[in-house]
Amino acid sequence: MVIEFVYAAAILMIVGALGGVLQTRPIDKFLMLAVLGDGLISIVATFGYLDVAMASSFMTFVGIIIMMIGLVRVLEIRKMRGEIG
Amino acid sequence: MIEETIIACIIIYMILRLFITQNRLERMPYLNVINFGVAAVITLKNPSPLGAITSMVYFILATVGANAIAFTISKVKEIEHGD
Amino acid sequence: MNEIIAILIATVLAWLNFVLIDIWMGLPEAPGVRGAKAIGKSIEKRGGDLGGGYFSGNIVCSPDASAGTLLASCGYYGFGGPEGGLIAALFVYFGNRMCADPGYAGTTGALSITFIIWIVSHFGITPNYFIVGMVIAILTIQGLYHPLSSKLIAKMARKMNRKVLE
Repeated sequence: MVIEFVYAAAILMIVGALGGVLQTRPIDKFLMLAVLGDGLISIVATFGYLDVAMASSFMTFVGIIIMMIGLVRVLEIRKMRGEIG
Repeated sequence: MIEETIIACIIIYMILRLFITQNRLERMPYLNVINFGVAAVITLKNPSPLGAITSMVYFILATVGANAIAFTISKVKEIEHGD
Repeated sequence: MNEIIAILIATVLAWLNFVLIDIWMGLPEAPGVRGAKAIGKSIEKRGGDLGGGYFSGNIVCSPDASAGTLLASCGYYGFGGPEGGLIAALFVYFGNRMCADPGYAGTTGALSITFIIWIVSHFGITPNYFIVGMVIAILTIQGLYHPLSSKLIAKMARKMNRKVLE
């Protein structure tokens, strides 16, 4: 039986979405969001829409980088106010 | 073809291992293997110059994103465990 | 059966290319960025070697010879000639500067695998086998069992006279 790539991409997206729902801490949710983005870009590229895949990869990863900066800043402000630890 | 089957099996194995493990920093190398697999599939399914360029752009941006995630995991660990 | 043998030969060539160039450029010696240090310490805590851990951390966080090998094979396959490998070396150079990494491991790996593919393609191993071979090679280093692969990398680093930090 030949496993086509479309099945692997669908499993990537389903596990990424389930993981994003079931994890409790924000840092774990962002990791599952990256997996979901990977699956989406791969299935768009498999069907031949290469320019959509390139634009989508720009937006996904620049968005992840900006959210990481925001998460670190929020946690530092909370620590400074004394709400953690 | 056989190459697509091999990469699909590798990706499915890696995503199951990523979902199961609890240690956050152990998940990063599994995410890196998934990035390699997706970059390979983009070129294998579109054997043209634009497919190669899309694969290169995707892979470089995914590596910078994984760098940001690993940096944030270490920063969160430092903030929560009291420096 | 001919395809399986070609994929195996391409896997061995890609594995040797990226591991030897990375160890020669000093990846197991020091963590390049902060995320690589965290991944290295985590692998050491689980029973592996610190130098091998820094090696895996540097592969995850910055484009190195493994990225150069994969992207040069993709470029060679897409463009149909060695110019794809040169374009891949340019992209890897930009990626290194974006991650604040002052090294040249990625460009060296890309150029060397372009040369290897150019020689071997006369014997019937086309670049798409190198693409699959590179994914299998990175699976053996980062996907199976981290403590064992990190100890193997540290052993190879000592044999090549690279001082592994303890």
